[in-house]
Amino acid sequence: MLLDVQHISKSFQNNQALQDVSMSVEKNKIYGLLGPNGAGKTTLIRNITQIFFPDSGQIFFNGEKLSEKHQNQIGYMPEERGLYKKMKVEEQLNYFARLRNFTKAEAAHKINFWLKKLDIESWRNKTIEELSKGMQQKVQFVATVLHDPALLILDEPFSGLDPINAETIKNEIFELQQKGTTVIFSTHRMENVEEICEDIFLINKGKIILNGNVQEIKQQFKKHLIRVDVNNDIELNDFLRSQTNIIEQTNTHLIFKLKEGQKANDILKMLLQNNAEISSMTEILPSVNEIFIQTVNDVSVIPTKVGIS
Amino acid sequence: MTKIWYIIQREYITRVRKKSFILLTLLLPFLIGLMTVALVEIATHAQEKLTIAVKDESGLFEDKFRGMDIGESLRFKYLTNNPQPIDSLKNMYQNIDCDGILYIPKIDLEKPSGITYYSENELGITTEEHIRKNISEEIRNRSLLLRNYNIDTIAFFDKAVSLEKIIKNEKKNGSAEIAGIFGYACGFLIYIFLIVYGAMVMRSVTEEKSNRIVEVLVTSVKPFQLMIGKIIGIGAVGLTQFTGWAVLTIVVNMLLPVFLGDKMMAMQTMQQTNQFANASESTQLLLHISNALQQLDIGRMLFSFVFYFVFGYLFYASQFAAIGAAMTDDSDTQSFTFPITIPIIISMVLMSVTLSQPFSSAAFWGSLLPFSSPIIMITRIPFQVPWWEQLLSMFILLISSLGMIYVAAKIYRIGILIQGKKITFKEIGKWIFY
Repeated sequence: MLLDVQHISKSFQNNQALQDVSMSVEKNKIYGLLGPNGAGKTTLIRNITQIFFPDSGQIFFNGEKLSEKHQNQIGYMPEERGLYKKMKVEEQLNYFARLRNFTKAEAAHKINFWLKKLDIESWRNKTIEELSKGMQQKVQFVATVLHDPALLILDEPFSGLDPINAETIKNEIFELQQKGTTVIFSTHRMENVEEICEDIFLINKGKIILNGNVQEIKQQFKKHLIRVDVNNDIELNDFLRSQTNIIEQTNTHLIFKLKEGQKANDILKMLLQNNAEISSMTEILPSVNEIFIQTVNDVSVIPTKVGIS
Repeated sequence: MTKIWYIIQREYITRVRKKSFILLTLLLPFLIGLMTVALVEIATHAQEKLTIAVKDESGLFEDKFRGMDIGESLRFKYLTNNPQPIDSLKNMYQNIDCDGILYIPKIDLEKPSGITYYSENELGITTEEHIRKNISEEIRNRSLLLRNYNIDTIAFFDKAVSLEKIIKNEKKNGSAEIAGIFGYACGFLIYIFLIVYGAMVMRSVTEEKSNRIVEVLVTSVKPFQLMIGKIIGIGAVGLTQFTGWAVLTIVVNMLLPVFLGDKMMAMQTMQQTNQFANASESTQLLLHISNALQQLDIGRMLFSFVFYFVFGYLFYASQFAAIGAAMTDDSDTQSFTFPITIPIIISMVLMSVTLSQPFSSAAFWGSLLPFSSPIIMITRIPFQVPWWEQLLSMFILLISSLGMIYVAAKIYRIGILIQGKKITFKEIGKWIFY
């Protein structure tokens, strides 16, 4: 386990930002930290990056109590970009690298490597304010990963990026993961989560309300819906109508909600008896977005743990 | 420590290489030099070149008018041997290359009247004053002679009295005025430095906070390192600028005579003769100034200036840094900086009190309290402040600036990470004791 957050709480004046939050982060995985605005995502991240310290609870990094010496193993990209507008790209990266205890030569080597990799070498001597927003984002990303952190924390890494640059960054994230980096990325954009994350933590009002593997969570939240695509316009007989729960019917597809004990195969059999030409059948799983909205709105949901994490 | 060093470097280099900094540092002394040249040129060229004919029927003023020496601007031509009456002369002075004619009739010394100047053009103020002075001086001397005073007695009355001062059994030649001017200049420089560079620290902190650079930085450095690095870096920028100005001003002053040559000398003598009736007094003033400067302990002054400059800056810059950290983009800058700038402005007011009464209790306390001591003490030092007072004041300032850095760091640490909400002074108070 790379990061182990144990029962941390943190409050500011009258506002309890985190309440008894625990999370375990395995090496070499990509995690999504989800939650509505003001849920406590940033506070949690700031406790991990040691900008804040928890009022109670403990955080362990690689089995050791999290301390200053771990700062060089964590890379953090805040949501709102922090770069010196008047400084040149290379100078800026060099400054960050030197503050991470790199020697001059190491810093130069790393900067060259990343500028080449992200195809922004020609921007080396431009000041930040001369760059487009997307370009600035790339520079910010380089600043975050420059020191090869074991844990990479990205806060909304794709905001403001065009699809091509978003793809570039996404690929870099995957590549880093393959090389052994653990990634936590905080977002409220669910489409990214489904694509990238294996595991998610859903946080609301300072508490983790849901966590686990994305696929397993989907299974848990599934509404037992089956979608069947058909090629012919079929007349459904009364038997089928009485035996199944049809949610939607068009010329091309049907959606059934499975009854207690009913299997997808049972429905298929009945459809075949109705001379349906079936082209495909899929189980409709809820999107992370739906789960997110459902969970956040449903106050009755108690913290659950699905599968192993 | 190395990290603080990198931060200092960044703060320093990014500012020092800015075009605006280089221009201001280089150009200001040259602009001042250029202005001096322009002033001298204007003053010497604008001088009227006048030749005035003098028809003296009284016979009292033969060769008594002194010309003005600047660029041979004013000359007198005596028409002693010209028998023509003034009525015809006043129409023909131009024929003898004169710009005007001064007519002095036979006058009664008790009631001198009828002295007239005829010309096409009005006289300049300085020239008119010069002529009037010459005439009245001569009439005065003559009148005194008539009353049986001899020439030596008259000269005796004109002697300036100098006041000798024995302070603590030591003879002092320095004049309080010169010491005051020197002290004022030093105090004023520190005042400017505190305001300008303090505000620079504040703006820079607010900028880092509002564009979230701090959030990235505090994952690799401590907020304290960030703050102290910034304060030192910007302070070094200020020192560089002041040193640059000092060196360049000296260079420009050395170069000025090359461009101006005699004009400069002429200008100086003109200024002196305008201010003082006779030459002996102006030499006396020069003596005063050089005496006063010798009296000033330059070593002590320089040491004190650097000390109060540096620690006064640390004391105030840390406050500016703390306030900068507590501010959010939308907060009212004015109300936040008010508590800091008020003591500085009060110090400026106190400075004038100090100049007139350097040993009053207001000046004494002003030079001990850290809020005003950088400005007040430096103003007082040329007046020979006892060492124990200065050492006490330095000690208090040293301790207070360290204390202020400590307090500021506490505010800074929390302030820079708080976004989007307005901070009150009450909250800032809480952070200090957090």
